[in-house]
Amino acid sequence: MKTGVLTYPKLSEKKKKRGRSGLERVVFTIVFVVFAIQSITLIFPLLWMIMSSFKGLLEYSAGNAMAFPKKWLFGNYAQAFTTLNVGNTTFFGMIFNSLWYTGITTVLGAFVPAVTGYVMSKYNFKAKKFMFTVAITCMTIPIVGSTASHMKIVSALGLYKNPLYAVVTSLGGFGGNFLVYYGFFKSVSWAYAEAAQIDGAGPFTVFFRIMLPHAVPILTTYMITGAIGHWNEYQSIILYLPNYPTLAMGLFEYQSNAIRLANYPVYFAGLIISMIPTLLLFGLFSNKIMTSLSLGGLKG
Amino acid sequence: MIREKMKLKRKTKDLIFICVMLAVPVAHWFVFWLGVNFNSILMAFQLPSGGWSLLNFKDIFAEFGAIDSEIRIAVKNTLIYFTKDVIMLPFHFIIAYFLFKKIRGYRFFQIVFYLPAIISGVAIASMFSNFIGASGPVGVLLKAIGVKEVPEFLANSDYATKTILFYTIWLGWGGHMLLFGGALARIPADVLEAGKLDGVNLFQEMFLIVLPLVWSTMSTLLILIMTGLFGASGPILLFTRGEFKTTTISYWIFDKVAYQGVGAYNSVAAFGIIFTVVGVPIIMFFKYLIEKIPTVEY
Repeated sequence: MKTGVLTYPKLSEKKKKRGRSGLERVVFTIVFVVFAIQSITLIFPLLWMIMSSFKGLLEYSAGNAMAFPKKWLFGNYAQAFTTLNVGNTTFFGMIFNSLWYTGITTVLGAFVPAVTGYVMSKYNFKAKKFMFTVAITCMTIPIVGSTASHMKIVSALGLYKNPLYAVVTSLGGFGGNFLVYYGFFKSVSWAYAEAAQIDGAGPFTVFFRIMLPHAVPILTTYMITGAIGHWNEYQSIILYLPNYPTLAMGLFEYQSNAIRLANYPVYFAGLIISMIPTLLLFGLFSNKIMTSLSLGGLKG
Repeated sequence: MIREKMKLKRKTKDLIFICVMLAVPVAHWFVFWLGVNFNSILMAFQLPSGGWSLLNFKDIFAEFGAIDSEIRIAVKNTLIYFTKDVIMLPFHFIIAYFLFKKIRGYRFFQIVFYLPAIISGVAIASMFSNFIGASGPVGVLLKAIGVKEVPEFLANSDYATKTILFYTIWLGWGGHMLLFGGALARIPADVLEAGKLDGVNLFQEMFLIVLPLVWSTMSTLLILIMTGLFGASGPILLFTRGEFKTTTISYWIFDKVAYQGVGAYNSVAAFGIIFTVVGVPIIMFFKYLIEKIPTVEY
């Protein structure tokens, strides 16, 4: 008796869309309208902030909030660089702090879990199962309130108010990213490594030259999303690096300190300047970000 | 003999490689996970001046029982944000599903919904608080429709938490979009086409075919949300610094550590221990329940 697999003819995109029933078309239309309204509510305040950043202080605080600026003050952006200072740190200083903090935490945060994910998925050693179980268990234990202890240990290690804090605390390899790398490297054939080993390659060469390049898409995605996240970080800077204000932390402090005196149009200009790098990154890599992440199950 | 020697050499090389590569992350785990949490337990039973005591716990429970207790407000608000996170998860799945089904303008919606994750929280919170302020567009609109006294939404105990909650929901449409998007993209096209030819409608496809296929992602996210039970919060620091009855557990902890100094560390540790002890069995039970639901391998 012949056995076979039932196959279905492929439907084209157009046919798929045409194939929607009347009810489905109604549902899609309603969802489209809801999505469109939500998009407008998200975009409109942003445009309002951009518009307000070109107003004069008096026009902003006493004029019509919805009106266009009488005179577009592009100078507000230049003024942001000279007046938005926090303590002894200038706006340029904050940009510099954001750059080194983001650079260090992004690169290490993306690379170290790749190392642990690779070793744990491709090598067998005695403690492996135990380590994997511990890593998964730690992810699911809801620990509350260890910030105080973390602060004490950071201080004891001399990392408080020290740029090395960014390096040392980014060396963790068993967080959520570890699982993604673990799953990825598990799916990469070991035959590549065997071929290289026949040619005399050692484990370091195999990892850096053969296996890591396979993970470049994930590595890139984590670099981009990590860079965006770290650039926007402010709480950990307030806690551990208060003397190195980044743009996000510095602008927050500036507003908090000058709540009644703040020149909001200039402040908005500063906020918009601070958004440019992340928006640029997203603009350049949005397709990559949107398509390359997946998360499997958590089985301890 | 030579082959055995080579095998041994390779094994040694591999062992060195494993040790070198794992040394730093393992040391990091020992210091910043095990060390931090072990130290947290010790700190909970110590006084700031030194010496062992249960006073930190006593103080926390006394504060919890007080009228208008800040801790009680923190717990209540945290549970509100946590409930929101759980309710929003299926909503995020539905949004991701329609984007996956390439609803008209899906690329534009994807980008716009993901924007809040790109833009600095400081910038977006500042924009929001000025936008809804009495002299901002919302204030102007409310005055135009006859509201005489426009409330200060973020400086009023009746509105502040609701306003921050609204803010998190409003901005949260793109939540988990990448992970759901990734899971949906892996679904074999044949499965959906077969369903279509068999006459399944949109809702059957969404809940009976697609949902089981992305269940591993959904269940993992659900477990992660559960794990963050007592960490659920809005951007309290950016809006109110915990005033106007907006504080949450995570903000309460942050505030104590950042602004009240070393003297508050021990009570923070005791506070943490109490909620960890309460949280662990709840989370483990839910994790057990969630994992009972079988996942589909494909």
